[in-house]
Amino acid sequence: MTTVTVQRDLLAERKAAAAAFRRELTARGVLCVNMISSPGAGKTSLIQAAAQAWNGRCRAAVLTGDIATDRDAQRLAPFAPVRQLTTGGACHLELSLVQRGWLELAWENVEFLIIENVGNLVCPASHDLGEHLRVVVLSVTEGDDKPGKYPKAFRTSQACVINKIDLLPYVPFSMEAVTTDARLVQPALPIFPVSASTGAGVAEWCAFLESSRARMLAETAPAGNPSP
Amino acid sequence: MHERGLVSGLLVQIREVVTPRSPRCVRAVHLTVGEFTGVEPELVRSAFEELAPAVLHHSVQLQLQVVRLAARCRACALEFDVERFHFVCPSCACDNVDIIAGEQFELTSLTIEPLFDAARPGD
Repeated sequence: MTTVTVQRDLLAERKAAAAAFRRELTARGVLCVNMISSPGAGKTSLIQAAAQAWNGRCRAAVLTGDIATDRDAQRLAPFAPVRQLTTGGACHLELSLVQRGWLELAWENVEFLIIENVGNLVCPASHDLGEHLRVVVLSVTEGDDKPGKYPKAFRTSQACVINKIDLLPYVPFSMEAVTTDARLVQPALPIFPVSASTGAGVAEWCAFLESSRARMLAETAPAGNPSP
Repeated sequence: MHERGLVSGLLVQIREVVTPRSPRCVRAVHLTVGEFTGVEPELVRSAFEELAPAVLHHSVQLQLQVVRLAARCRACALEFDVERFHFVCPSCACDNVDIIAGEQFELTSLTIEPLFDAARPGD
């Protein structure tokens, strides 16, 4: 028997495809945000709240993923150009679906591409969609022990939104406990307490997205090298 | 991740590596899977058992090596296994650490039957 050393990265192709899409978006000045959470954490409401807060000042287009129905796209249609991506049973979005949706959007002068992933804290954490920012959304009704239970979702995210803070008086959820737990997994994680329904914290969240895009533009402008 | 798709990709890679020989000359496939890759070794194994017979020899073995999640501290350069997903240096308590292992999914090597004859009956 002979042993042949191969050392091939079996994920190389998908990593390269995601990096290429990210470069394309960077070159167009589009900051891509991939929002992941469990079902019902309030991703759609948060996107709607940000779009309403911007009120045309910043231009965001939305791709929203679901296993079935176009309910999220219908909800968001009055506030932003949106395409529904229906996965037909798959528990996460894949790059090819996102790219097709992006082409269908065909929207000029978009500054933000917001991807609302399928509600799931597991599989979306392993799929790079070409985003510049991965955002994990956790609502207070889910419990403050989630970061340690879903470490990949929190480790691979660049920001965390704690949503539904208007319900804090009614549920056993400690902001301190969730912050400690999240920072063991991802010490640099910025955490934004928000209520998409009352609007609390939405301005800070929008400002973070705007400053992230400004940083992306500043990093890429002089050298003309759009690596994220 | 979905392991069936990954195993299909693996079989394509194996065919490429052994060309121009028949992929049926492969006797063992050695994979490295990181524990933080999001790839479940048991699901890789069952997908392999299901998909491999169409391409590889019936007696082919799958050797899976699981690699622990490890990081390097940016302050003191200590390399350590990350326990319970706490990304904090056990020596200096610095929390600025880089993952150095545990996120890979690699075809490490292939064990090949050198005298294998694809035309021989029974193979």
